[in-house]
Amino acid sequence: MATGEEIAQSLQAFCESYNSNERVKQMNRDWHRIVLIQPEDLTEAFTLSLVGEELSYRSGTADDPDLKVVAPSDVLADMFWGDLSPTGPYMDGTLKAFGSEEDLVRLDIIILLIWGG
Amino acid sequence: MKRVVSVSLGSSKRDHAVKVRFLGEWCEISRRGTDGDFERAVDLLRELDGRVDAIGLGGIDIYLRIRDRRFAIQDGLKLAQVVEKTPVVDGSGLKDTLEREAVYHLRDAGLLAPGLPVLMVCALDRFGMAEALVECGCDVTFGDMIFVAGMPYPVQSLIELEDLAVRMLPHMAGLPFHLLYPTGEKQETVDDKKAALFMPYYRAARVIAGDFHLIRRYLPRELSGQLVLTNTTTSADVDLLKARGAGTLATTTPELEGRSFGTNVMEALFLAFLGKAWDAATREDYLDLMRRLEYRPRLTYFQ
Repeated sequence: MATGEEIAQSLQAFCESYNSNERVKQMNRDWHRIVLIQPEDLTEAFTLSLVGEELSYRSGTADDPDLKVVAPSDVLADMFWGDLSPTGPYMDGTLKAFGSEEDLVRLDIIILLIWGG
Repeated sequence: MKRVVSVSLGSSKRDHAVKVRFLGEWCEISRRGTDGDFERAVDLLRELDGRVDAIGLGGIDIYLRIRDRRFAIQDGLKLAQVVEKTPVVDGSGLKDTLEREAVYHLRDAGLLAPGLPVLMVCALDRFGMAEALVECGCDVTFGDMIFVAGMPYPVQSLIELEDLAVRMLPHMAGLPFHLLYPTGEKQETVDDKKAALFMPYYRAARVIAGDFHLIRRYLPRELSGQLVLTNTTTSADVDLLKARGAGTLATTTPELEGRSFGTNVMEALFLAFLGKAWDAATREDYLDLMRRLEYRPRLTYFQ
């Protein structure tokens, strides 16, 4: 189990990597989304916002997210640190996503482009 | 008589069964679509195992081959592993040979030339064609990120395409196949909203190459005389391309007595004749059979 602080740190690292990756920003220039990150074993939630070219996060929920991602806190922290591809947890049901399949694939690709390889 | 069956995740509307002569021997070839239903495909494969000479998997790949690397598509692998006795192929081995040869034929016929703008809707499923187009000096835009991932990012070099493949394929290949490729009903329809978004990429190209289900899914209402280089088409597909303003259609799959078949079908047929396991068949084996068939891509001129 990860703490809320660990998830916040992973999201911070993820946002910094995204914002410094010009190729990913260019690829993703048409995608403006609010993603709610909900650790299933913690009471706190986090919101990722991609507005314009900048990705940011904050603690707290979003009223009307485009995509909601629910998973154990350690899975979420590992995922945003780049230690774990979302594909495995998604396929074995550990990670659940609520929203369009296209948005889910896009988030998956962003994570892989930032951390993959 | 050899029997080859193609089990496809695609539409059952395309089903057919024919008897053709292949290198002097009668063969029965049939195609069975499962309308995107994975479990139906599993049941059908179990039913056919040991009862036919070879099975082709259509509408899904088992492997994507990028130079000397091979990435398994998990759903494709699951289907292949259902079959224990009969050789199962996805066409990727033959595709790598056949589609290179098709490109060289088109170059020799003067239809491809250095600097010609080519849109390849997806190259990761046919890297051989991609390499051959680049080798011919064509100015190729690889649409993998656009047409598969929906991201407005044309890839302009094989090096970048490989970089993206290495980063993403080991993981993406584990996703359900329908998230990455149109299956079932989606193969029969055009996504007009995205077609409008993707139209500039089609318009900028003089050649549109790659998988026909992807080409058609996002086909703009009007083309301007482009050459479409693809794998296999039905008569309805040909009518659609003509109506939309394509100039020429080049299909890469060999014709047997006036019919063309999917690459998976042809590779299954090749294996049935070679009497080899899939992993044992070589590029030279395939080239030899293609020479004996006097292989040429099929050209249809609309204008």
